[in-house]
Amino acid sequence: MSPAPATCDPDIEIATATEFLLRNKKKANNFTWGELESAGHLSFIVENLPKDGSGCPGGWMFDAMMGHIGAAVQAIRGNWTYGDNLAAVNRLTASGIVSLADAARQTRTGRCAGSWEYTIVQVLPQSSGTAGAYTRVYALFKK
Amino acid sequence: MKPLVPIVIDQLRQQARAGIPLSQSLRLACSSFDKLDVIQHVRSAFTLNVRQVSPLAGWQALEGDLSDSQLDALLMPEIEHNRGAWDAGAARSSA
Repeated sequence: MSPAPATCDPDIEIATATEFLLRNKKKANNFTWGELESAGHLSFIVENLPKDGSGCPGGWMFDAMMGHIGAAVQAIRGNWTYGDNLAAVNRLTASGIVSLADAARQTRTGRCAGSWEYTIVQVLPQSSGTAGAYTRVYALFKK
Repeated sequence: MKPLVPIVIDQLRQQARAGIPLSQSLRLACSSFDKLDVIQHVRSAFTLNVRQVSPLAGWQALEGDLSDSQLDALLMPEIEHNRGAWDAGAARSSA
């Protein structure tokens, strides 16, 4: 059921064993697209632009995706090369007190993963940058 | 899902074969598309998975943060990595 019927009219366009695409028919840049890779790692894109409070919320779309595909998910993968998650990691690690893994757990994706009990964070070696100035962060969230 | 436009897929592949950066190709081929349409076409053209194509959602031309050069630095290696899957000519010549 849509959380905000006036601006969120979800249409599930793909729902297979390995892929899920939900698009909001009432807002162009509002969708989630997830795909399960061979190791059971779920990668996904969540968009809700402009950030004006309208549309289908990212957390709600994430839950819809996990409701469909979640049983097969071994790990939720963060692939952050731009956007809110990367900004949060850099803000949190800038002081040098918070580790990259702890910062990853506090991102929006980290909190969504945690709500599905994927709370163990593994930062992948392909990540690049330094505390407060990461340019690419790749993380796995596991149970 | 909106149907893919085959001529756009062909155009993206031809331009990749010619070494044209993806950002430049997309400005020519997909200027009237919304974000999801662009992602779907790039994904299909180069047989990318969601993880590989995900930086595209952050491109400045699609309301994101990434510059053209940042996008190309992230996507072009993935496109090249998959060349055997989308570029039949390359696959034959390397066989």
